Amino acid sequence: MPLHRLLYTSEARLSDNASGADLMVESIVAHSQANNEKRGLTGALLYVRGTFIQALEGPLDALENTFERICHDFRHARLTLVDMSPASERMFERWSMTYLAQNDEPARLLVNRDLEELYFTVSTNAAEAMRQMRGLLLGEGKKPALEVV
Amino acid sequence: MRVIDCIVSDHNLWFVLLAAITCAVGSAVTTRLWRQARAATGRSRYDWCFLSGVVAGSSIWATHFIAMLGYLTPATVTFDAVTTLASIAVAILGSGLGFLITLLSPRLTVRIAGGATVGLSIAAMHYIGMFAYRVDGIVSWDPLYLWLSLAAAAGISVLAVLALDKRDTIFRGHLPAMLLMTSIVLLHFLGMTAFGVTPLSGVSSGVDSEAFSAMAIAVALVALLIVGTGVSSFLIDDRARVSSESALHHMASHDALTGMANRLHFHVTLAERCAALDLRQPEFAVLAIDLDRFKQVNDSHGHHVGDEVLRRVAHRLETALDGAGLVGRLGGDEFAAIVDDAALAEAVAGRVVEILSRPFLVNGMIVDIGASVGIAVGPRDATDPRDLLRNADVALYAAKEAGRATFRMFEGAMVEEMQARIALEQDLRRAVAREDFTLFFQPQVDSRTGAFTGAEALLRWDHATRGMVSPAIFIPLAEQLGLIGRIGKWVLTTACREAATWDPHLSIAVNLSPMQLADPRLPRTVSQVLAETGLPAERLELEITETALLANDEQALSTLSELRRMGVVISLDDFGTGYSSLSYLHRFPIDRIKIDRSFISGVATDQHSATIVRAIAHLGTNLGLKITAEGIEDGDQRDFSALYGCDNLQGYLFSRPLPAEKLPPAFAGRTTAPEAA
Repeated sequence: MPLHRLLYTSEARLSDNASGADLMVESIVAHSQANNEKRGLTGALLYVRGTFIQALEGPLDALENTFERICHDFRHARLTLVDMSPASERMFERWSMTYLAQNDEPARLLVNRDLEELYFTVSTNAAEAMRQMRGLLLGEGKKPALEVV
Repeated sequence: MRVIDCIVSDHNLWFVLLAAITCAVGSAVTTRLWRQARAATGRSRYDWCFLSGVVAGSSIWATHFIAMLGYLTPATVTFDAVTTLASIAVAILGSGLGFLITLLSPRLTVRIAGGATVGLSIAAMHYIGMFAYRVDGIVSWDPLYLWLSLAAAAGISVLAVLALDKRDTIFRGHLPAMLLMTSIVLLHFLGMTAFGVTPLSGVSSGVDSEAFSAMAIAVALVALLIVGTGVSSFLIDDRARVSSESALHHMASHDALTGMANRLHFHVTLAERCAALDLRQPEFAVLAIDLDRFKQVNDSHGHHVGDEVLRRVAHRLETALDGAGLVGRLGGDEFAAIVDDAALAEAVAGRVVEILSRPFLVNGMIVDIGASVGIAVGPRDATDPRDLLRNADVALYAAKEAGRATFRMFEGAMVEEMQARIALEQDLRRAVAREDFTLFFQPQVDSRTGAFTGAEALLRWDHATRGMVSPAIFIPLAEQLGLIGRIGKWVLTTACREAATWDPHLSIAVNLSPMQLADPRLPRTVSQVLAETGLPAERLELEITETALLANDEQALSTLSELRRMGVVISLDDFGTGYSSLSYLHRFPIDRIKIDRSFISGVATDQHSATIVRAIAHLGTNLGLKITAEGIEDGDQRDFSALYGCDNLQGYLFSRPLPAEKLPPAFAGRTTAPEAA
């Protein structure tokens, strides 16, 4: 089965208080890591300005099933599929699902800036956005996600 | 009386009781199996007959044997094994054959023959069994009771057969079993009454009662085992039937493709819900759900993709409902839901719209559909299931009118709106089919010389009962209904044909709708029309609006360029009212701009309007474009427009739009505009 990759964005329809939102994101990430591991999927999830940007890649069947499951999830609002195309190789092979979000730490100014930039790239150039994602995650030294969480 | 005397005095009553129970249970089971045999067809009918025979024969035999063990005889008793076994075989085969005969034909004689066979088998078993009963004494038979027993067994068995077809309310269908049991019991005790033993003297009497009891219990157990086997086979069959019935019911009430409730099931549930409205149930809602663009999925990706999408739609709908009610597929891409609590209806509808707006990934393809939802609330909007669904459909129609991918709550006014629109649609289709339109022509003049330069063709629809219908109403409708191409072609052909009869210096301006411009076949259509009518391309001016350029500017650019190459003049209509993007003037091959009448009407009184007109005229002139001022109504407007460089003028001051036949006289009559009064 040929490899495919997709990129979608959605707005988080999370609970009102911030810590509840964090918990929910954590549960989403943990859940998708476990599932992706089983299905041979890899990918990354960014959270910028209340928007999820998720790249997901792997065998077509597993990818389509997982995306269908995401479509059933009302925690996403304004879900938009930005790109879906065959891929010759994986871009996020290191991570079953890694997660990167903006936060207020001054040390992360650069990361925050890069995330902001990505936020705008996504709507204009999906392929470039995914290259930026990969670069950003590698620069962050993101380890295989299961070890992180 | 001798019979009762025989039972009471010659028998151990415990054995009689045990025999009676065995007989009763056996008869009841036999009857059920018999009924089963009657209901069955083909081979299984023989199987059921055999099973009925086994149970009936065993019951008869056990009844006889247990009762015989309870028979108090003054002489020593033994049983001959072979004959005893033969007697049970006769009972089984005989009664089985009897049952089979009763099923062969519904004719009375056949059924009587079958019943008699059953009865005589009972008798045969009994008397063969009596041969096996060896008693040390002188045996005597009373022929009266012997014949009586035969007649009773046969007669009552026949009655049992006949009762099988009767609907008896008194015994609740147990009459055949009771008759069968009566037949067995009567035969036995009449037979025993006929039977007499005189013991030989000097021989010890009686049998070993303990061994006898053990034997009785063993026989009864074996007999009950057989009867139990019959019961369980009946139950197994019954359960299989129930489960296949429930499978059938599921098939009848569920959609095969999606597994969700089908139209029938949905309607039944809705009817139940409506019937419960009297019981002060809370309000509930009916959602009519229609997929947008589903037909294109089937057309472009094939039915297997369409089917997969429908399966996933069903699944997503279940998620959107989230247990709030029932969702079903009414057919095709038409779904509906019952939301138990009307207060949740809008939230559910919103979820339905949202979840179906998300893309479907099928075999590496992205399938984008969407859904529109109409909501009707019971009992507020209707109490009858059909009315509720119809009102939900009306609301659905309104949701589609509102641009799809949304939901609407039913409102009473929607019905009239929908009816009015449907009537208008029908009228428009009819008008298009009959080409029931007319063209009016509004002349245009040269601002310097006052001479006529040509005319703009204006479409009119004069409906028999509606009167004049505004193009602002019917043109958008025609676009939605896909009729605009035909109307446009008719307008173009008619206008060109008319213009071909005019003086060769006069041109004709024809409006194009955005959809016509988006059609890549437009240049070919235009060239065909020009060839047909003989009008030179230079005399045709096509008017487009900015919105036509917005939608698909690459396509528009290539179409306009091709038209321009043919020699057709392109003008930009209503300039100043839309985006008025200067880049259009630069990018597209435009020859002329028409300044909208709203600016012209204000030139004398409103400084801003005057400035805009001057600016547009100036800009256009400098870009090498020709300028037309529309809506000139008085001399001031004419003078102002002429002064600032509008080379063509159009308006009531020169002429109202005229029917085709009045145009040549108008062109011939006055070539200069009158001075303003």
